[in-house]
Amino acid sequence: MTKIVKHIFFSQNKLFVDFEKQFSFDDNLNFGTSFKSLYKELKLDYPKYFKMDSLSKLGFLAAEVLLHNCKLNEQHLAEKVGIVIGNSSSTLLMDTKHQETLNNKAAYFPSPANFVYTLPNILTGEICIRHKIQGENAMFISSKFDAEMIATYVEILFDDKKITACLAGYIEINQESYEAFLVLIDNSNQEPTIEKQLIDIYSKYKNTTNSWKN
Amino acid sequence: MKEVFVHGSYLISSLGFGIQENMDKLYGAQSGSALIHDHKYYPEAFFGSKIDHLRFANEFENQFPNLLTEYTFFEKLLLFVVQKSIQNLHFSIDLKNTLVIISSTKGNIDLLAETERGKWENERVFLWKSAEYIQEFFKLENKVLVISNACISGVEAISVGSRLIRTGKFKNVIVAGADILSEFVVSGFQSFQSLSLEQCKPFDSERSGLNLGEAAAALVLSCSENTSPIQVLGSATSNDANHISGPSRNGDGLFLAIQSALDESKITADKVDLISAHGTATDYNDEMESKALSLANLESVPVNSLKGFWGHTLGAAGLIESIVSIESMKENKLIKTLGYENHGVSKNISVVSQSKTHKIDTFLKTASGFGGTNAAIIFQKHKQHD
Repeated sequence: MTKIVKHIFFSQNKLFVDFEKQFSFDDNLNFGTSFKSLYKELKLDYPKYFKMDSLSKLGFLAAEVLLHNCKLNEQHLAEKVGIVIGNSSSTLLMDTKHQETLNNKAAYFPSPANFVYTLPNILTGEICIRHKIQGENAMFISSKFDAEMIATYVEILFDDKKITACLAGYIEINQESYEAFLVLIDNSNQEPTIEKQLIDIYSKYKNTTNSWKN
Repeated sequence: MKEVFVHGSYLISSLGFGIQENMDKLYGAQSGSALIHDHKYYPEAFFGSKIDHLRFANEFENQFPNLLTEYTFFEKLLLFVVQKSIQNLHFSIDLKNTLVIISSTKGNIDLLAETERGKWENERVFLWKSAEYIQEFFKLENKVLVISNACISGVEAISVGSRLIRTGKFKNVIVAGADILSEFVVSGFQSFQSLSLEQCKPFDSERSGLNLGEAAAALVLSCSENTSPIQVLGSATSNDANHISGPSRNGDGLFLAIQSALDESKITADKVDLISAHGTATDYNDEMESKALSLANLESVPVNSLKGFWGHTLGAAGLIESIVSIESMKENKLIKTLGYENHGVSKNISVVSQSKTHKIDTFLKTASGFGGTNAAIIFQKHKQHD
């Protein structure tokens, strides 16, 4: 009863929507600069964005592209839209920043603006605020994208009638790289299992990005 | 659809080790919170709830000889509570095809401190790394699942475990949760100015913030009944979609989770005999909860918060509070809300101010956290044990 109706993949400064390249930023740009460029390209005006940590920014931008023109709120009740996200490094980049404010006892200045972003589910919270999503939400931490777990759980939520639509995927950022794979699933069609759909789509993206390294 | 039964459990908190020690102190209204003077956690003294580390080291050494230096404090807590929860089972489970779920907000975050640098491999700070060590230790075939959804992690982990059993994905699930005190977390909450300078006072008019605590617990869920008197009936999570660091003003997010959990359980609000609330004793949280309970027609149901006993234990909170509320239901005895004297929330909810005998067949556990997350889960005495 469920179908992946749209998907996006953003990594190594290239962003794809349904396998089509939509944005491409110079390989040499750091992620901060390319996120900023993407924000501009999307012509967003959302001051809260600038307070976010890089994990939330990445998830926010991914959701922005994914849900563009999707009419999610017209087709689904807020409390029937779920969000199930996987991640590996949690908020290590912000954790490190918060820890640095503690290391020098003479200049001890932990900041609430940093600390609030030391929880990985803040990224789902930011997406929920922006898109008025109030349904089931989960944040799973695994060493890499775990399609089986995400799919299993999303299927249960649909089967239990907890949700009629769901954002699912993998949002990860660490010192070396970032990756956002986000899909919109709804109950509109009969298709292969979500796991099969997730694996097929994700591996096609990974094959594309891996080929750049060669 | 399979039914989900609750089996052996174990917890370590600032009150003590194991179910009995904790229950005795909860019924006896003894708090595990105290002023902590330790630069390891914060340059100034703060009010918090700490596990007896020396005793833990001794008990761990007895349980698992010669492994004290192999694992971090967080990992040792998890290993210990999982082992104890299995020992407390009335039947044997095949660990190989049991799923273990870990609930934690920050895991080994204390390893980021300068004093810890170089002692452990870099990856050790990741939650999935802790999960790998647990999997390896117990020789589990299934990858250990990690849930990190702020302060609802513990309730959500039980919810996810129950769903995986109900749909037949797993026969047994061990839900293990832990969070430890660290300078990282204490300084963060201090910077938010959300820590109370004294023992916290949930739902009280003089409440002045929360106490942080550390705890660890494990709970075994199974599709087989095996003399278990307790079932998980239904559960839900929701999001306020309002603010990342403050709860919704009107309680609608938590209400959605409560209503969805009641609906799934096929019961109405009047069948609930006890609510184990989140009750952190911050102004906004307790007020929001009173509104959500009112929206759900639960104002007349006894509600308690256990944060006055052991503080807010973050990723472990939902789990330890579910475990002792299950005991409380088995014994038909309400635990009072330590710290509560004068009603201090706008809705007329029925905060338990004295521990007393009370028939409990069904209880609701709720939790809410940063990121606007809420969770609700309903436990019930199995019909045959009425």
